Amino acid sequence: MEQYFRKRVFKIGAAIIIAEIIVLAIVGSFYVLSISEAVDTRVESQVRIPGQLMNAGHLSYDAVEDSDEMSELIGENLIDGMVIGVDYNVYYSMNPEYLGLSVNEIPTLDASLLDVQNSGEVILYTNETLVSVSIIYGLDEVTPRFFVYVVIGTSAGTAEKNQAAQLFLVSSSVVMVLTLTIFALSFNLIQRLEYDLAEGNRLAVVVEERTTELTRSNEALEQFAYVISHDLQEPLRMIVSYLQLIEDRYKDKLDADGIEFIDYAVGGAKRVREMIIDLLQFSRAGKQPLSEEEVDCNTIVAEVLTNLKISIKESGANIDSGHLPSIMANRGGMSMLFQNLIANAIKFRSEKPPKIIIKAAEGVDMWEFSVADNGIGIPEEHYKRIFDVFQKLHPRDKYPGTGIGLSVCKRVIEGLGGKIRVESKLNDGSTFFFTVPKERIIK
Amino acid sequence: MNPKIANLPITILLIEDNPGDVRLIQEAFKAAKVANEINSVVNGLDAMSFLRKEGDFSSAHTPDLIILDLNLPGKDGREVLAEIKSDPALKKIPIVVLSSSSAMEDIVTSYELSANCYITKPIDVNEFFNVINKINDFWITIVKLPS
Repeated sequence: MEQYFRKRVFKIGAAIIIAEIIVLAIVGSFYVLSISEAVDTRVESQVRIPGQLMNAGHLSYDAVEDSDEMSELIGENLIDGMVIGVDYNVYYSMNPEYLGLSVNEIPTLDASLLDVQNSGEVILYTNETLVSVSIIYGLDEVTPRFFVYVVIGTSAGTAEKNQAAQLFLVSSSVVMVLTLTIFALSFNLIQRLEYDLAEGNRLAVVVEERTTELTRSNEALEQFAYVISHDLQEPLRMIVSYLQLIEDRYKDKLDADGIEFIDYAVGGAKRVREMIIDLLQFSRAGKQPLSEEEVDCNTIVAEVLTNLKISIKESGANIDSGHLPSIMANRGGMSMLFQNLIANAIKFRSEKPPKIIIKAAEGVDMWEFSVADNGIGIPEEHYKRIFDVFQKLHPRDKYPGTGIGLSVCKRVIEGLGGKIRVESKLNDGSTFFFTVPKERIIK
Repeated sequence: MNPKIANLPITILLIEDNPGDVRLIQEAFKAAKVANEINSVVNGLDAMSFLRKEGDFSSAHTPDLIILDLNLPGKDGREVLAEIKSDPALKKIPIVVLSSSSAMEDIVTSYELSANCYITKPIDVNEFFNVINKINDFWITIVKLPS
């Protein structure tokens, strides 16, 4: 497509240039002739563009030189020694003998010295004067850039004619060069635009490819976590169950050490299982959108408080939940989010009974929810770490759990397009803030 | 106790590929001290052959209860479940899905495929025995099954 477009622009450009050269050549030759006293007015009317000659233009320099046929052809088309030749590819010569000149005397341009793919050329011949304008233009494929060279040459003639011819050539060349420069600039601009367009398309494709790849790898990762969690549970259950069975059946054959060792093994295996279950939960937390629906956060909080009934009662927790909005989200995810935050607020309590305040406030383009507690607090250097998978700040025996809760919260919130953070003071409570984009807020 | 149980032992088809679990379930039933006959098959194809009394299973008894694991080699538990529940001759047999999975989608899928109940295998052996005991109590002692 791009290639095709470029070729078309190039062809149109070439056509314009050749047309211009022809026009200039005709006008120029009239001009040269008209200022010459020696020129018969009959000649003017006979000036024409020799079609055959144009067709023959693809013959090479050498071929023309050796070809009588070509000379004849040219001769037939020469009227009073004037030829207007236009050639696309190679500079070709006239029959020099006809003009009474040797080959070397014709001002030619060695096209091979230039990196030329296309060239347009005008040669004006009169009986006595030979002037030539060679326009070399082409496309530098590497840059890519359009280039133009104009070469002017004259040969022997009367001083008057030479002067006139030169005058014309200089002025017409200026016009041509200007036109060609404009064309070249436009061409380069088109090239640039085309390149930008192609680059834009390419980037769009890259972005799309990466997105697909990322989605695929995310899916694969989630699938992986799911499979691992499932398939690992069975052998673990075997370890725990049979160790316990050994303990039960052979209690009297085991000494205290034996029983202790078995307990450690069972404890370890049970913990691995908990982690696997949590990992499974985590891998699912990000699986948005599972199914999104209008979720009333007040209802979710109420449900979570029911789930946590026992620990609320045991800890003497006081939970104060303000009015919360309804949002478009996955119900299970929101439930996990509030459950983890509230359970943490109860779990990491200080000596005092927990006091938990849940609120939501409207911001500029987000709603900000907060869950504040009066618990043990979090040192500032751990603000980030607590949201990582399996990161714990406290020994297991004091605060049980695998350390997945907040990473699940983070995943849920990020899945909704929001952010989660904590503000805390050691021994003086923590407040977890999370944002939900306004477009998800229903009321 | 229903005297019928004492005379005619309840037959259970256990569709479970993990020999450790097969043994554990057998031990648990043994601990429950109920006269029953447990036949176990290790994959879905054998399960269907057993139920249809085909091939090696021509002398099999139609079970009173099926305990089905979801993750089976080849034809998996979900397919077995669907096949049994769409077979007029077999669909009356209650199926207890006993799986390692606690994933909601496995639970939902099982009920959608008309499982009679879904139980996640507990990791603790005492709980495991307890669960088997409860299955035994409920499905074999309490529930009236079609004969």
